[in-house]
Amino acid sequence: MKLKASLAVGIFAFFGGIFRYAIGLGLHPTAGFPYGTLCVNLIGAFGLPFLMRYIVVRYQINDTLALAMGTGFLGAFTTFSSFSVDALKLMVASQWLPFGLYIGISLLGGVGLSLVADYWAVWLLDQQDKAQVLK
Amino acid sequence: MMTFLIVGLGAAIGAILRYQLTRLGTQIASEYPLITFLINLTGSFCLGWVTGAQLDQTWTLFLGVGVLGGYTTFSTFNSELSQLWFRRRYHIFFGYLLLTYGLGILVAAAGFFMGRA
Repeated sequence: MKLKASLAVGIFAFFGGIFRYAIGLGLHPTAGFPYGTLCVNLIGAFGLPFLMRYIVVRYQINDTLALAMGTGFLGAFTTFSSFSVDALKLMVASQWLPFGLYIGISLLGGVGLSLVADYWAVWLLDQQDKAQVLK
Repeated sequence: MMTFLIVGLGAAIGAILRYQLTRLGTQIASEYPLITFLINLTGSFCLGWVTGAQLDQTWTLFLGVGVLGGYTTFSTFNSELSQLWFRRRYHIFFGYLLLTYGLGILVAAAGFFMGRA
């Protein structure tokens, strides 16, 4: 079961979920467009690869804390179920332009930001290695 | 204040469930991220159901925003896509991307109409 790791994931997810909810409340979910979900999902899509492939390596963060921050906090901070249901609601309401924009921005923005974070992480670590060699 | 605790508690439960399932998934030798795929689809179906059933506010917060929000994940999904791209697994990349988005909305609709019935 890995009790300690599960507990760490749960505690960090507790805060990840609350942050997601708070941002959703702050960005007026009644506005008709799911800005809250879009916002947390894009932040998380950039944040997770950057955390796991740069920050964890660079600062030698231990496995349990990395798991808690990545799988726990950012995993619970972002959500796919709300994305699906938000998109469905726009479709049912025949809001075709917002529907298309929501899916388009989530799809391209999500994978684009993850790729940027991954490439940036590789580049930063590479720069660091070069600096080490020069010393 | 209470609503924050309800959401947080639900998110913790959902995330632990996701973590345990992901651990099982490491035993599956497949390049396709099957576990995250199934987590996001089952979560979308259930949230569709919760939305259609129009539960009271507390249950919607706990199950919908909390448990299912914490259970499903957008960050891991995109991080996996990015890794597939990195490793030049373009067929799996496009398959995973299109199947998750397409089926995600489809099963959410199925859950929604089942919940409403």
